[in-house]
Amino acid sequence: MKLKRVITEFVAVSAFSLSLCPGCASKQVSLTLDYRPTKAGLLSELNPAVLSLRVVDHRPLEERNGIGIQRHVLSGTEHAVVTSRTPVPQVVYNALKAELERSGHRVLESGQGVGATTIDVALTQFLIDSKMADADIELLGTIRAEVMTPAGTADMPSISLFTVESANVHRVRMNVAVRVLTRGLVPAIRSHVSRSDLQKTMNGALAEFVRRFCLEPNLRQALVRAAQETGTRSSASPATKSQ
Amino acid sequence: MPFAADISRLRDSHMKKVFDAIGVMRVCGRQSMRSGPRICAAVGVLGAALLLGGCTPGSSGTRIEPKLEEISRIQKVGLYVEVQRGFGVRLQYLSSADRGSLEQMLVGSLGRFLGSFMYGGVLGLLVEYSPDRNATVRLKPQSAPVDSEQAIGRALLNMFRTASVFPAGELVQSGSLALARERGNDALLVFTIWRWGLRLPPGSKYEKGDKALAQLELNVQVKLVSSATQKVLWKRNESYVDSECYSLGDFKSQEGLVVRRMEHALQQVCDWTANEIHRTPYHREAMP
Repeated sequence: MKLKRVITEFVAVSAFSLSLCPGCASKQVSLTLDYRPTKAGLLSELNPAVLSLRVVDHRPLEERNGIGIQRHVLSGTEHAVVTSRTPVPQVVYNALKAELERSGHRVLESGQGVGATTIDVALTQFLIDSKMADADIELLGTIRAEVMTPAGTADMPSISLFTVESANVHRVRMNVAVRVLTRGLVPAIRSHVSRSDLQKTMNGALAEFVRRFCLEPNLRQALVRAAQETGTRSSASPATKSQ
Repeated sequence: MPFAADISRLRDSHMKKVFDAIGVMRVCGRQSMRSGPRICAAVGVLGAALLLGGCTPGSSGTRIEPKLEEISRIQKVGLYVEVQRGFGVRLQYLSSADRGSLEQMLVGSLGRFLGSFMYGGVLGLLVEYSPDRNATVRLKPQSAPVDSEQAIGRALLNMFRTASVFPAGELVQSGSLALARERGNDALLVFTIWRWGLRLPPGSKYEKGDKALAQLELNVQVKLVSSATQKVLWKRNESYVDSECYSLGDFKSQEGLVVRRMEHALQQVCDWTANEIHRTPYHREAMP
């Protein structure tokens, strides 16, 4: 009888402990990442240029499957792997293209010819992570890339123009007491950072990335040269035709 | 499932007892309303405290877009540096660097009982003896050369001069616009560091001891205010996370590593400031 009671208590305690444990890490949460161009266009004061844009994925292999971890609010343990619905290089390409086009520049798609300059973006990091800070959950989205342009020589195919680093911090109120009172202790412990907050953080990091990219003097200089080249090409074209 | 149901029943009956004891049912109209207003007031105060407690320095990004035309007219700027929280190590999810505010918020909002029970009592103790706290204490001497308003202010002013961010500038000791104006400053640049130190790089796992990976972080708010009109010309929250990762052991053993990374971080923020307020393609090339 005593043994039965011990076994029952052991099973009950184990079941309770398991209910507190976070779920398997095989869960996935997919984010819809997009960029809304600025109203005026960050590069609109420069003369229009025609350029080619390429985004290449240089992230470590282990960072390509997931862009971060969705964590439990209180313990910080893993709840799910965060992924992007659209491939990350495509997200970055679309964002840069949208801002350049809003500013009046023309970005050539592959097969549309070669622009006056080519901008290569080598993406090295695209991650999201969370941490407790003060009494909040601090979500940090980071994007890093090296921006290059072809040098045109065999021994040095491209020159590095600059690196872009963007970090976006988004704070989410933890509200431990409210969670415990409204949901109970166990659901409060098991609650996790929401998908919309993760999305907001990464979209913010993307907006910061585009901003930093567009405000870099070396990019602006490259665009000024490209605009001059574009102007020269367009003025030379009628003469070529008349010959 | 029966077990879960038991737990749920237990919780519900317990909550009913608690609510009965504090008179929630009476507020709901089942019994006399004598203690209703008092409870309503208590709940209201608690709610307000919770809301206020949650107000912390906001997310990063531009708060006020730079007024480029007015900024271009600035001849001399006063630089005021404010360090809200000095050097701290935050490698774990719940870090000792944040303990003060956490307790303040919880104790302030929930009252001593819940605050001390939930955090001061349990998590507070864990944090008190956490490796982060030890690392912060051990790295304090390394961070000391750049961990003050004066040191950061001097370094920044030099960087602003070198990068020609403003034609002239000086370090001021107060955030008063009137004083800045008296000293001939057209604007006051308020540089508020609300946190700096080492953090766990995104995407990496925490390891105990000196093997733990760490990188420098710097969170600042930059605000440029016209001393004549008192109008905010530009306001931005910058979050800088260093691209270089080192082990905690490297930061402890390599003399001057923390200072070098902090100077690099300040230089980066200085460059971003230049990019934000000088939107000419040849600005950096034109500097002396």
